[in-house]
Amino acid sequence: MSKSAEDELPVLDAQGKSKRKSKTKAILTDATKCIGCERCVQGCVEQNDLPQDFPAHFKSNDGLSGARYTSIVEVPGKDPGTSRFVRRQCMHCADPTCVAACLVGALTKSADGPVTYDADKCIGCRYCMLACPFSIPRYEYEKALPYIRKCKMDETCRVAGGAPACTSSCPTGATVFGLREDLITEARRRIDERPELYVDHIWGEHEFGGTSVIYISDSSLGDVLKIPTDKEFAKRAVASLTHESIPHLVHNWVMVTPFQFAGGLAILGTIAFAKRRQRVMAETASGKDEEDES
Amino acid sequence: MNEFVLKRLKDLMWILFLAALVVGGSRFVYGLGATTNMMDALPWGWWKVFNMIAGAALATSGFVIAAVIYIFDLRQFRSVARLSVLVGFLGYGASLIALAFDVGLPHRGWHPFFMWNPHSFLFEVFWCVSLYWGVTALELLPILSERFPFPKLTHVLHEIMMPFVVLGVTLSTMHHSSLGALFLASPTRLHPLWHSMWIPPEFFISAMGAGLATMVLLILIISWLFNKEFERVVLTRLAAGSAIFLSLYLVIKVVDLTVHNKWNYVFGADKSWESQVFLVEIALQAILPILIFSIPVLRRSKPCLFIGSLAAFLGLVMHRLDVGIVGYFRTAERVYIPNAGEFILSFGLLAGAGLLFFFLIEKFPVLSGIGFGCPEEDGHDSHQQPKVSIWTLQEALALLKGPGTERVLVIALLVIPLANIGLKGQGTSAFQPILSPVYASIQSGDTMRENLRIDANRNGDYVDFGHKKHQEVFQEKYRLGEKETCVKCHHLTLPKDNNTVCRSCHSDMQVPMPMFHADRHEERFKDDDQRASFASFDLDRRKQNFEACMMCHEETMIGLAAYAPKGFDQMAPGFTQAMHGNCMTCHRLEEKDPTDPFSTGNCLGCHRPQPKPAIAAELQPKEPFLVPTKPIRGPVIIPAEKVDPIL
Repeated sequence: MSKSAEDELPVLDAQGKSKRKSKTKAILTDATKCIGCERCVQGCVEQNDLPQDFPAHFKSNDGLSGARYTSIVEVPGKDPGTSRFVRRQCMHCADPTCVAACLVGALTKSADGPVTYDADKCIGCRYCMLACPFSIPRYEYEKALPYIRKCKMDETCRVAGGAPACTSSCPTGATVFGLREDLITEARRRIDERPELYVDHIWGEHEFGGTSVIYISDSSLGDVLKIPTDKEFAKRAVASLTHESIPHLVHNWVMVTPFQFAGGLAILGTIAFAKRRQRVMAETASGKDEEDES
Repeated sequence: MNEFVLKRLKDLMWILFLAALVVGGSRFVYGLGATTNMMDALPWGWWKVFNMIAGAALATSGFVIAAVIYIFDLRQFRSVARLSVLVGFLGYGASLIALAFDVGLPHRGWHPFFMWNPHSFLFEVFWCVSLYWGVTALELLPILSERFPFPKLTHVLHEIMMPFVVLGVTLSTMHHSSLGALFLASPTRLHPLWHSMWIPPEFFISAMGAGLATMVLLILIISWLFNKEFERVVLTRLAAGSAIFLSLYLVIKVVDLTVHNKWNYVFGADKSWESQVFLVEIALQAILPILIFSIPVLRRSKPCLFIGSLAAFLGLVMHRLDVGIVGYFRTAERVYIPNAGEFILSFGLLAGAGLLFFFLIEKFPVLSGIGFGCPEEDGHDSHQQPKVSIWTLQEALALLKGPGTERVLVIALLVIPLANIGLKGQGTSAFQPILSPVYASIQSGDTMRENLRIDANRNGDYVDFGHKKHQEVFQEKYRLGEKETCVKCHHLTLPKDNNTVCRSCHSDMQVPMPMFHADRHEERFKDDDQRASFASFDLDRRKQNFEACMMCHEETMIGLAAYAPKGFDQMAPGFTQAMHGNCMTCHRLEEKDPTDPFSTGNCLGCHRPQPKPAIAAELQPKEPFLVPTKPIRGPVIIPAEKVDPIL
């Protein structure tokens, strides 16, 4: 099944790997091809040996949880009465907010795409969950000593063919794995080929600085993927997020910190020293009257 | 009167503190999910936002007053210097301890010291807060050294204090702005009213204003509790200082809303319930205190000062809660309300800090400028040390012997119901599934289970299964001679069970699960004589051992014979496969027209999209968790009120 999916991407398998600039791997999900069978979920569960999932008040409605790294969300389709299925997973951003947010550096962005999690470093503060614009990282609330859980997309979840278990178990080729550049080209090709079907937008191409998981569809996926439109970005006064990442947006504030420390020490130290000197001089001049008063 | 209030206040604090220890302990046994209402969609709860972020802001007085006295050399505030540093130390201490319960792996609290990520604002907050806490502890050392006769140490400490004050003030300015910068990371998730690129200075300035107001509030309360008069001029000056910072905050906020074109969220087209919250917050946090603090007549009257500082205090807590929790509700599509246990731990830790605070101001020269606790300065009050204290072992023993026994007993007894409230309904068991995957809608009056709904992943898109229709069809077939009827679906019925739930074997959506549980058999026949007839239930569960099962189950377990050729070493398939198998086995054979929209070849034939309940359903309280009395088979299914699960 997965073979047929890859056959559709002649650019992917064939020659020319040496010419490529970026080796960033990515996943392209085409919502028009997804039938919602959840084979990807099953493949992920089997490959990662995930535990049993059960509903609880702390789990979200989108199906992702500490025991599920990917899920299928049903959204209303273009025509009334129809529906589309959208696979949710970690977006593996080019410049991830979670990586910038983690105070111990437990989350890292690897060169070939995946955002990986080092459970040995994590202290469980859940700042990555708050910082992620897509609300992806999940927590093992049911455990006394919980860890963060999210889609890995690294070597551990790749099956024999080199693709992750989720994409290789997709029966319709709705979700495929490959080099990001190729997949963007492929997505663009599909949109250009059938402009009457697809919305002319690749979700994840530029938003938040670009992601390694990209989506195309015949209806807007912004709500389910939590990717606002350009207008919504502008309305929230963060218009630059249509093409740049959140860490880039707040970079200036990070840069302020060392100057704040050095400047604070210098200014306050000078004032304190000057005032003290002034007081000592005043005291020596007017005797010891002031000491009794204070 | 006041002594009575102080006594009862301390009793209440002890009760809260001891109950907090119980609730806090339960968090480490049962996990955050069982003891709190935090969730994936809103990961930062009450402990982090109220105790840490708001708590740090309210304890700001420590650094502001230290800066004013030691750096800017304004000596008239000296009378409250130690009080403010003590508030800083205890406030930060209580916050950090609350954080230890909130963070998932608190035994790794040392990690950020060695594993660096300088890009993270939380990293900066962690370093600054922990360093600043150390500095406040150092600033408090003179109190100890004056109480116990170490004149030399006192002198040395006074000499070297200046650099540490400078360091402490610098660290404070840094981490207060960084606490705000934490929320810069959520430009698309936090509500635009509270998210702004200017959060860091907003947090810093509002924290200073509210910190001074908190100081005023605290001095007013202490002077009332201990019947002491504070210098009125110190209070009014603190209030004036607070008004300056709060006005600055108000100006920044107004400019921020104007520059970023966000007034439409307050009054314009995008008005929502958040706008009301925001207006109340701004009124409490800035407008009311500024009005009271900046009008000299009002500033000099104690009740007005009390109202103003209380408003600033509550307004700041509200602002931090809005930024950290409430502002995320809309995009998370969930509402977070802390449960009783979270409140008890949170306030209990603050009560513990409060007890330590009372202990220190009663026994140590904290308020030396005003007098009490410092015998050489107030001659007539020194022998009137409050008699209500049970600080040392001797005092506790004396209370036990004397008339104080009942007080200790009352405290101990009152902790029990409070701790029980904190643990009620949760914290006493690990998680259990909430709802049966197959249920009949009682709401629509279906008490006879005529129509069943199958919805294992609980997304509301159930599959309608005509139970009665199938019964009728099979009754007809039975008359025609077919023997297997109900058994076709209810293929396994455990002993003493009418019809065993699918979920006891097919217990996961996708993953095959083992269907024979040796340990449960062991548990069941722990004290049974029959147990001798089979050596152990830990049998090799293969075909040849099937006879051993049949010894007991031959008559009681309908449909068991179907498993004879397979044995019990197999895994039961996931719920999805089981349910599809159940329907497809018959319907595929009978299917005549695969193009029929309601054929089994068409997903939408069964999986018809159902009208989704609005967000309102999310606002409802979560279902109570049931504690299994004796798990004999499968996970215990908890019946929700509206549905009648099939057991």
